[in-house]
Amino acid sequence: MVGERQNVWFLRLLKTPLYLLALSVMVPFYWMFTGAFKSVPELKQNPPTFYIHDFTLGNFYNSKLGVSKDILDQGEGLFQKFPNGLGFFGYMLNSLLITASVTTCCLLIASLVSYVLVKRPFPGSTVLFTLLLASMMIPWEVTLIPNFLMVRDLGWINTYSALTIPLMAKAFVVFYFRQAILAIPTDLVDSARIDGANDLRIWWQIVTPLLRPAMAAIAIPVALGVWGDLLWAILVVNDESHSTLPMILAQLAANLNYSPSGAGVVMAASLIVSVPAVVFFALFQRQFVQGLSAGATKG
Amino acid sequence: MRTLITTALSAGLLLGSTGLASKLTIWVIGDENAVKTMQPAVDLYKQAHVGTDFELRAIPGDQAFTKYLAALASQSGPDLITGYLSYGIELGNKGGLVNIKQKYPALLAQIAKTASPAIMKAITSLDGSLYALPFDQTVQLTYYRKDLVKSAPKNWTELSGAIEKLRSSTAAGSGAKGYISQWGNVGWVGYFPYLYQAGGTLYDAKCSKSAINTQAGVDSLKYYANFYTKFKSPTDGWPDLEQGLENGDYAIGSTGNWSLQSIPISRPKLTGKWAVAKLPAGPSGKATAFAGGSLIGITAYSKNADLAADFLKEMYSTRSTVAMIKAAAKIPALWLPAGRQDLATQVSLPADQKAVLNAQLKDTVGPPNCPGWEQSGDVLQKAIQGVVFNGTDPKAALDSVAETMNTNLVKYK
Amino acid sequence: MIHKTTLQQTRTAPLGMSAARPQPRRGVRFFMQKYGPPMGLVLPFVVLFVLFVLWPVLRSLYLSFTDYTGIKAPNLVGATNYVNMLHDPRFYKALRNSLTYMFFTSLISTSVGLLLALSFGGQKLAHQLMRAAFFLPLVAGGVGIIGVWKWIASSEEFGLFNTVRKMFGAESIRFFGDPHYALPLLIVIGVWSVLGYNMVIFVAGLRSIAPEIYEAAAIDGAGPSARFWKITLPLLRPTILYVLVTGMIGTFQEFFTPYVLFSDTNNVGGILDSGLTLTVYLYDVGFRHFEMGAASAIAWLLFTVIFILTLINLRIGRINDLD
Repeated sequence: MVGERQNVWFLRLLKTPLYLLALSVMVPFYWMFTGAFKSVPELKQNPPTFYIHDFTLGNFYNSKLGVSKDILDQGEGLFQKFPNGLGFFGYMLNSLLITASVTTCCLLIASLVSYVLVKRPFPGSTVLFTLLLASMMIPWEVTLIPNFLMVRDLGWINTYSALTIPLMAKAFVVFYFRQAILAIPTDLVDSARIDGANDLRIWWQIVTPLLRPAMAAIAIPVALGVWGDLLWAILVVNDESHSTLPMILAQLAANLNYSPSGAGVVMAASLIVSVPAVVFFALFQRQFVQGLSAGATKG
Repeated sequence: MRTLITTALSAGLLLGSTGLASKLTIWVIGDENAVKTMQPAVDLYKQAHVGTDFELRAIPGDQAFTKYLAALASQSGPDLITGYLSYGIELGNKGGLVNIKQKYPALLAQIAKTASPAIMKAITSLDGSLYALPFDQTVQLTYYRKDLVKSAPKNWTELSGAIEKLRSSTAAGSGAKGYISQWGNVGWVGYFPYLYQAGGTLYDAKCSKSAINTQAGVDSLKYYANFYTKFKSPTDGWPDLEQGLENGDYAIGSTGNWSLQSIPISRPKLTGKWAVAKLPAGPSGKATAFAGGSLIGITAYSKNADLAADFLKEMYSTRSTVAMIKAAAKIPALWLPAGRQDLATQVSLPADQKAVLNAQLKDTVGPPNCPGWEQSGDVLQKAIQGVVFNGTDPKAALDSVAETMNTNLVKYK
Repeated sequence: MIHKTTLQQTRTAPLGMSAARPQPRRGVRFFMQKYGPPMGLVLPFVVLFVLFVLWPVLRSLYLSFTDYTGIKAPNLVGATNYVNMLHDPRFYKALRNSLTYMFFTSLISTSVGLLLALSFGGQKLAHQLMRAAFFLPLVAGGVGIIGVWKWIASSEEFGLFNTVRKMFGAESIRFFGDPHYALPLLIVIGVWSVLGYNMVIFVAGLRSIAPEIYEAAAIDGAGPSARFWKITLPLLRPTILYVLVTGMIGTFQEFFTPYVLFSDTNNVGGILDSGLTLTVYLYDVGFRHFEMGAASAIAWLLFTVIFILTLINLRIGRINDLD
């Protein structure tokens, strides 16, 4: 008994640094969160303040803009920026639309392929399978340049097509679904076919409902990838109306190099961008973990 | 009257030929403030030419070149771009910008009269092509605490002496950390003025070979490296000079002219305690500073090139230039027109500071216009850092840079 | 024609044994009737896959042997790009940085991730909270948060890290002004961003070990440490290797963090290229100078390294069986 108790005590001691580690992992988020609500003078303060002394929403919307003569005061809030463009919500809507459409199409076309590969193989489907497998090893850097050239030659620069269509065919999604479809009894598919259902109908009425958990899981890495993409967007889009959130964030963050005075708005923007993801995570923790562990092999 | 008719005609022609050719898209390098600076010129143009529409976009500096190249590769994008001084020749050589000398000689002749000669030289190709016009400029200056340093160091010896003296004191707030450099810190932009002050140059006059490994180059590099190795100046990419002066860690420093505007506003504690001076003179007696800045060019794929050129004409007018200086001052920022250096006197600064600024503006050199410099600058940067951080021999480091520069002269001709 | 006969062969081969070729040579119509619908279903994916994955890979290989700049038509230049790359000191610097970053980040994040999984693998609320905390960087990362890191690590007085150091009387560390600190900073952020992921994979791996094995071992008198070394570690071996190798693949391709931290307007690698990784180097060559031929050569080298790592990964075993 005594030995066991000592052991617990010992384990707790061992765990203390890990708790400290957890705390330090949270520090950037804490800094982002507090930074979003600190006023610009407070952000500039030396040494920095460890908690919010002078709470303000001015980084989001500065209602006193232009009224105060004091130049040290807040500048425009996040939602007052980009008056010539779409405004922050406009970019957010762009990003949401792009993410939603890529994710939806990606899941649909990939599940079709998985269904066919498993339940309706055709001559050459093994070749396709092998190609898909091999493609997962290709780092994105290899295809970046030719894809840019392809999009350019298709005349897709500054279109939603450029931001969505090239991102849709993802081999790792096919593989993930393959596992789930292997588990669907072949009898189920066969009997449906005897009843006269065609492949499209079988896929839609039998396979996709059963794939739902797998879809929910794999949607997450797909969506996060699209949501956070910066490089591709920078290359193929150069007008205001198609700009995405990461592009705008990068534009805001570019100034951070020189002084912390722009930091308030950057923190406000980062906060708004990460809140949906965090809420999603809280609601769908299991799917997150499943999906992201499957997405680890994405190419 | 004549200009009115021609512009009306050209606008009419454009409208007639393409139907909706009255929109100009301008990409401005920098942040939202860069857009705000240009806005008055756009507004004035719009007033005079009803129906012309504009789209102004800020392009972050670190993405700008990529975006411009991508736009060029896809043959779609803005009509006008602003960019760093090297962009003109680089994009021009790739066929991305209109050769203004060829297509708009009248516009060029107008600007050439008033533009900063250093900037003009920097952006004109060896064969005389000019792919962009000077937009704005920044110049290095010495900033110092006049309560801690009696007078600004006039030459290299005085500068080292002053730093040594400062560093020997121990009291907090007495400038005991010595000297701080901001713009181009531990890099070629920081080293550049010392090279020229020592009588050296990057290339020979005709861009036929590198001249950096001469005695002047080596001496100035030794002197420059001392700031970091001997005097322990901060080595970050962009140290906070204003704060360093404010809290008295540093008493002398060097950066661009922007701090003239921002110190009075954001560093109230420095009021009455700071001053600005020309850079110290080197062994050659010159107090040359590096002139950076940006240029503005018309893209080769623009369908509205004539309209863009017409806008540029307005932008370089006295009323637009003055309006832009004022708009920048509201941000607040100190905007120095490079195409209208004659109007640099319009900036709102105390008389003594304005005098120093204008004196330094007359003694500047821009980045070289020799082929392959863009590819070589990085190598020089690394060589300087090698001397500072790894103790590489300056002569050997510069010899190897010169070799690369010579190779690139041929390679990118 | 050749194509058609190969299709025919593959079709008849599996059927041949049992059905003894009931009705030979039904022709294209039969083929289309039987395989048309499934082939139609894969068509959308296959078209996109060919256009945006397969063809680009081949094109990139071709481009790596040209002087393409994206503007003028490409000329074949043989292996020049590869030769130039192998003569560029920046390439070796980037390769060394990428390898160092890969090695330390995956090693630290794997071992600490395992430790965390062992300590907080339970169903208790505290354990779940701990897992969520470590998982947060994966969920809410991105451009903004790397900006926050940059801000925290700043040498100026508003930099949080150095402020805390000063409170303990220590000197400031110039993360961005000293080439020695670039990689350590990258590694810290790299570990930070994948730790939670490794942790949950290990938790899943640990849960798949049947409790009976532990019980049996406990009856045999094995202490906690013996159980760990004799049971947990060997049974977890595939998971550990998987985490390690996928971690290596991921870190070797890391672009975003070094780019955001160390790029400024005319330089991408930080002081003396101390923060230059292979992907940033590729970006520099390909998209800041638009030397797409040379950049394609770098991309193919990257591909080769990742290919080898993936082969190791495939040898280690199936990946998807964790859950």
